Amino acid sequence: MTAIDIQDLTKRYDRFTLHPVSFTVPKGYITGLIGPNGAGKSTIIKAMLGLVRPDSGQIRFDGRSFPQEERAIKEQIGFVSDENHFYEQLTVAELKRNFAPFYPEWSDADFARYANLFELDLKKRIKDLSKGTRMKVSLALALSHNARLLIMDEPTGGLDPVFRRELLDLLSDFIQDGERSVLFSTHITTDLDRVADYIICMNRGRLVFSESKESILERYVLVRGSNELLDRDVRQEFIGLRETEVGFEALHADRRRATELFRNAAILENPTLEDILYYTAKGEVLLG
Amino acid sequence: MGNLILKDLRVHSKIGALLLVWALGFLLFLGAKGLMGFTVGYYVPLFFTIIIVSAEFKNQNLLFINSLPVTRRDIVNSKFAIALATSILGVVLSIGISLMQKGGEASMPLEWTIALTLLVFSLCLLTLSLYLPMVFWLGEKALLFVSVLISALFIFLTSSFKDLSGWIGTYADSAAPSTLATLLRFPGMLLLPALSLGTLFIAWLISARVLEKKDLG
Repeated sequence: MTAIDIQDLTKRYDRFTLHPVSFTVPKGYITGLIGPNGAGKSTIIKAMLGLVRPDSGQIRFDGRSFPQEERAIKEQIGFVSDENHFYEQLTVAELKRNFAPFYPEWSDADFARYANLFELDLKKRIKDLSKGTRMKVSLALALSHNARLLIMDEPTGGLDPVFRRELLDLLSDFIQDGERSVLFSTHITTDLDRVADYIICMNRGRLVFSESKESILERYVLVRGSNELLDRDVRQEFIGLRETEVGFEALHADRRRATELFRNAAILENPTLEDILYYTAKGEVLLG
Repeated sequence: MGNLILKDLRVHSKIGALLLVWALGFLLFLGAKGLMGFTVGYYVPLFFTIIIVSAEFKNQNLLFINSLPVTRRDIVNSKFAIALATSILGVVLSIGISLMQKGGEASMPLEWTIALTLLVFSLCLLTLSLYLPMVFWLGEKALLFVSVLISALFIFLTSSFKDLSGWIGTYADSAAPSTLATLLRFPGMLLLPALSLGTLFIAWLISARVLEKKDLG
């Protein structure tokens, strides 16, 4: 069962090209969309919401085609973005009053509960809120209309560490019934280390991988050793390599192959998602 | 679409109220005389629609709106519905103010009231027919073009209205024929609203097409 199915999505701008991208977001899980700035994460999310028009490709939500069934699809989506373009002059309560009628399953009780949980002052104007509080408003709105899919574009950027942790718990609760899903775009990969079940990695407009976090962390390996181990063929094996005077650190995409290659000559460690992102993003540059 | 219209009216209700207060103040200070009603009937709906639409682009609220369960066609439809509704409000304002003048000195013949009201309605629709596709195409930049256009129209209209006032005065003194006869003498007054509604329809088609293809983010 898939919450989102994207096939051959492309988009060309003057200075950026999203090359054909295909992936699925499984239903009932939290999927992280990672990649450095300019990788194409926001373009994909904007295309999913109809904010940008892709040049080609297909987007389906729970079997429904987008944009053919745009209104019905969006009723099921809660969207949280780091760029909140709310009406600045409105209070939180007024914003809610204008937002709610668009959703048939809107719940005032849920909104009141989240507003209370996030300690939102409903009488405050949007323009007077901090970035973190705006994010909380966005989150409260997204969670109050019985959304089946939560799409979050860099949601944790403006949040303090305490609320970030609470948010991750909230997301875990959100998917508990197995019918709801979360797509979480971020470059703060430590958040995904905690909660994500699947990871989609983008780099320079291309899909690097899309698979379960478990298999990624099993497959990739971080290799540390002395520079003497490096020759031209070995260098080609790595996704990314960082050399210093005392040795090298590199990411290999195949743990078994790396074990055969280095045996006991190098230290093999489990990478974090940040390691994988770093070496994937910088790999081409580091390898020259 | 209904939710979008209601949202626009709620979000900009204070601006709408301010415009009406401005219109009232305008009339109180300058008096409900001459062609004042038509000036107010033209500018109030025009400003209100422009403020509503331009705010969406200026503050990038369109990104927020488009993430809601609405299509781009809904967004375009709602703005044009507001344009039409406010233009009709302009007609009501024009007639209302004109009625206030009745019984006063040199009151305007009914047929002139109708003809000028239709003229105001048409001008309002024609201006918005220019503005709306441009704003959907160019965004905030269109506002600059429209402010130049409106200023030019203001100068043209005020000077024309002065001439018209004199004309009406002369005309009112003469034996006025029936309303129908007058309107038949000025068929343009009937054709203009039809033409402007047609222009608004074309503007709607262009706007829908422009916004459909546009990247908002």
